[in-house]
Amino acid sequence: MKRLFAAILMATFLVSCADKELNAPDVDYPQTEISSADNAVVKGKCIVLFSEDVTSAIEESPAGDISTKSAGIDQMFREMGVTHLERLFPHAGKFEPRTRKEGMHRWYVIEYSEEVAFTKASSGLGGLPGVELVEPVRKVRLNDYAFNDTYYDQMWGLDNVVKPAYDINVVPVWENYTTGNPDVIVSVVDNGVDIKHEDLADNCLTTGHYNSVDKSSTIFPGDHGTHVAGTIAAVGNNGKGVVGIAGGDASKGQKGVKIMSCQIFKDGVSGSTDNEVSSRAIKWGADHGAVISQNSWGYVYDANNDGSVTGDELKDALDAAVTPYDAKAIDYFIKYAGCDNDGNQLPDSPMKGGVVIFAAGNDNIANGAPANYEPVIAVGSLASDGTKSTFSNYGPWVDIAAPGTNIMSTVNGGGYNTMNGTSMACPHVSGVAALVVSYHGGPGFTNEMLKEKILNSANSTDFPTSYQVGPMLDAYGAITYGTDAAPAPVTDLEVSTRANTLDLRWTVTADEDGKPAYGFLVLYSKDKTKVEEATSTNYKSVSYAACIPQQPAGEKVDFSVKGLDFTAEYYVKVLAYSYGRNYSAATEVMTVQTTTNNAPVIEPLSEGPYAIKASEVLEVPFAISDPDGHALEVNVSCEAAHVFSQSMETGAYVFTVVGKEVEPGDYEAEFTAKDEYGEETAYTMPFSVLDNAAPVILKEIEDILISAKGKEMSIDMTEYVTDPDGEQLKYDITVSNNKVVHVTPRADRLYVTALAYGLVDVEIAASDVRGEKAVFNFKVLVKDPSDPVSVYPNPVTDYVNVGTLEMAETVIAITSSTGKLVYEGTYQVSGIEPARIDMTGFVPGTYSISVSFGGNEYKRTVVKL
Amino acid sequence: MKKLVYIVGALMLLVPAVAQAQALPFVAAETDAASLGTAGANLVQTGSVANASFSNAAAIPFSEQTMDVAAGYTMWQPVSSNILNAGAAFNLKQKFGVAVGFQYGMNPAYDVTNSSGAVTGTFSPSDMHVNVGLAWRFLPFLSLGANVGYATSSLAEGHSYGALAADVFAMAKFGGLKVTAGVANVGTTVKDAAGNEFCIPGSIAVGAGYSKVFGEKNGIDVLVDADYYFSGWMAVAAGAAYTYNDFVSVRVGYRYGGESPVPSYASVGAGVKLLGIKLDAAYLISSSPIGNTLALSLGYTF
Repeated sequence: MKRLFAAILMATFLVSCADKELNAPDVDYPQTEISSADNAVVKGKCIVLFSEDVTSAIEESPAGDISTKSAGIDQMFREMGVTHLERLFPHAGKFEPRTRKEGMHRWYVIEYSEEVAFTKASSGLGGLPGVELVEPVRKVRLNDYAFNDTYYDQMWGLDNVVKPAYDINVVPVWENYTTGNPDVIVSVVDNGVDIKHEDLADNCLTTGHYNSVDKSSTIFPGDHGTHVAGTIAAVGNNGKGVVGIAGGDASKGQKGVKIMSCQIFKDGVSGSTDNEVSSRAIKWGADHGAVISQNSWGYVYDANNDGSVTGDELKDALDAAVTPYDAKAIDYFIKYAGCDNDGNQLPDSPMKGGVVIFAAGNDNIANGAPANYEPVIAVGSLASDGTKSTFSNYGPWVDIAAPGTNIMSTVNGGGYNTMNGTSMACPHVSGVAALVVSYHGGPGFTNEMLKEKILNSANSTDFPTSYQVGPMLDAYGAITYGTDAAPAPVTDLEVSTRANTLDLRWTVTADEDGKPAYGFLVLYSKDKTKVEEATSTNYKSVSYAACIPQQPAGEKVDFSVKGLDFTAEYYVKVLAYSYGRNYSAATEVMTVQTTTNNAPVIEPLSEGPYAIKASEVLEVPFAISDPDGHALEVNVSCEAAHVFSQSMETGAYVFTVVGKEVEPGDYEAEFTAKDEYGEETAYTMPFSVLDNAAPVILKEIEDILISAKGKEMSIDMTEYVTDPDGEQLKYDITVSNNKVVHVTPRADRLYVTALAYGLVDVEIAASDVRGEKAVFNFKVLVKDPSDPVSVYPNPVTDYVNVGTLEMAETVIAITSSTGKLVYEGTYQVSGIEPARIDMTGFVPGTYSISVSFGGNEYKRTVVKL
Repeated sequence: MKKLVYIVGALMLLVPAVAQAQALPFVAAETDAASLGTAGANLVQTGSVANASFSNAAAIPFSEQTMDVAAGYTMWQPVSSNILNAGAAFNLKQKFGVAVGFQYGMNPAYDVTNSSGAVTGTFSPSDMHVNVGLAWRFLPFLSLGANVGYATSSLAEGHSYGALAADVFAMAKFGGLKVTAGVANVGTTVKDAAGNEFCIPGSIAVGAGYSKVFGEKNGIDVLVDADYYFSGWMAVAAGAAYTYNDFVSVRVGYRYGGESPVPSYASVGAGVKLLGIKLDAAYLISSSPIGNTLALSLGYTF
């Protein structure tokens, strides 16, 4: 029986192996996370990857039958109202075998009831045996939805392609909600708007503009007002200029919100104006249909007009507050915009009451008026890298931040340009406010609801609170605020401490549709009562941190809160929230105790002792960490030249010393690691660089005779030289004439190639890494065996060499051109050891040289210069 | 005569006091066939003066010919060179003499090699010597003659060496006896590539000869030249020629070269003359490299 069982097992294994071989390998496909509200997904349709067994069952079913022979799947199909089932990749004819080999026959498109959310279909099917993957069918479009306006790619505030976290997240609003509604009127209290601008005219009121200076309806446009208006409502997708946040989509015939120009500066000039002019202009907006009052202006404190606010000017500026008549006008706008005389919402008004939005000011000081008037929305400015704009006023009175540096928009006269200032940030908020009213506006929609959506949805995650310019405006957050379901509360919060760090761990919860929580708000304090009383709408009395997890619902997320006091008792609770800032109930308040600070740890990862030769490199990896997770400042001090670096991949530190760059001797490296609270650890590592031994000559290299041009021979240098340190030696070669012989080193072998007939001196310097050398000198003769005598150089200026093929007693005689014997001598001559005759005393002329050896005489002509 | 002494003295000042090796030695060598037949003894030769610009212009006015021209080829054995020469002399009423001469030696090409012995090319060296001479017989028995010339050697690409040279002689004739004395090849110096200075082979030269015709058809010439070089060397050449009926000549000679630029040798030569056209040949016999040198020349005289 056991044998039978083993055989069955073996057979199963073999079948499995065969199956693996014939088909595409299993792949873990990532599961797409989809919310029920995702408008980018086709309703009533999904794509499923079945197992081979289920696929076979489907294929065996009659045409039109949606049975899978899997009870679970068939039951789910019935619950989903599945009406159609077909292969995603149809039968491929002659290519069907490879289609099946790649497993593409197992992908199916399923059509089911549009009443069933994809999330439900996914969760229902996804957990069944035989279903490997359930994917939504996404809507597909050409990748040109990005507006076609000329300067769109410069409008980082709307679509920051470099740092996406730092734009106002408006693109998904345009894609899924609205691009504006002409029933919403924004009064631009500024200098005049160029209401005939090619990119603005369609979104400006035909009548109803107000020149508060002249108290007339004639508008004198200026750059500033036109720039502000363009940010709010420049016509979008019209193939020119810029895109307004609520400027509509011309390509779809969608109109944007309307701009009402309320001019408060004379003849379009910025400069300054009288204060009563602005208050009059604010009230005009409320009385003529505007529900949003856009104000990119402030009071003037630069008394001496030198461009900066200093001394008494600064004091006045820091003490500044809204004037009573501006406050009155603002209060009036907030109370009566969109309303009748009794404060009731007008039937055709999109909102009950108005919202007044002010720029915080550009003096980089901790105050700004009238923006600091509490009922208004005060707007600070950020740059495209997420940092506070250098000019922006700041303080806790600033409600929200928006892009204000290098903003592209319309300018007077039909042009376009970039400007900087909180004046540019403010219309971003006004534009988003207009979008929110466009989508949510109508009977019963109030200014308080709008304000809550804008302010409570703002993004505080990616921006330090130290900027004090408020959280970042989030258009998508404002539109969705309060419209989605709150996620389930966290029920498994675990809290531990590492010194002054809280380590929290919990399971990501989801809403009733299975959509995971967008974020988690961690509230903590040493005051238990404050933590207990803190709510999702009132938690500023305690410390807080937001966690935006990447994990899907059901998975654990770890989060740390750092920088707490040491040895203190803290209380903490967590709330989950949706993207629309709908909060779950809080967890129970948990009590934790922070501990004392622990010193950093320095630990070498390789064992000593550390000693290297000159040719070696010492690399010692270190694990340097802080048990408490604090940031460390790590330093090393060492007399020897070294490199100390940290691996980007592993985080390990590596101490490196290159032996040849350091003198022999004993050294110490002193490592220190100090955490951000001053706790320090030191570690001393001794190491040595050993003495160097010079290369040693084993024997000299003999002279070489090569009997033909082009011939090559090699010299194994290990027979001639060795290095006691075992180093690979470097060979430097000097040849007296490299047109005769070429010598090339390759590792420990030298290759000698004869290029021409001649005799050369060769010097080989074999050096170690410290440059200590063993030097060889030898000659290489390349000799034509058919020519027994060599006379060189010719012409000669001092000495002439006379060589023979082999060593022989040779008589050499030189006669002048008139036959006079001028020299005669007898030598032992060879090619490598030629006779060397001094001709320095010879007169310039032609000579005959007679070389006699072995019973033969050879004559050559030689010329003395 | 005083003037002659002054001229000789002035030319000698051009010569370095001590000069061992001699530059452009070919200026001291005779290459025409008529002269080589008598071992180069030709200072008082008046029978053939076509090449007097290379020897002694003072002999021209004593010649019985008005015009003498000749061209020759010499196979010069010491460096296996081929020498072409040509000369002409004009005797004006036996009062004045004018001569010109040209000599060009083509030495064999050699392989140009660098200091390692690698051949980098070839070059053909050459020597050239041009001279002009003037003579004045200011007394019936006495004349003066002078030659001025330029000698040069082309030895390598961009390397040529040259010098000016001059000869001055006085010559007297008393019947069949002729004597001469003067200086030969005094001139400028040559510097080698290293800057060392060398003089050309100048000498004090004397010559004597005796001519006699027996029985109207048998003529004999006996010639002796001696050179004392400024470098201290001594050379003597002696030769004799027999001429039958002014038609056929045979010549013999011997040169003692000593340490001089041209080594010792013996010579034999022969010549024919018909209707003023002369054909001469000479052959040198020596154990030194100059042996086997052969010279031929063709001339015309009237």
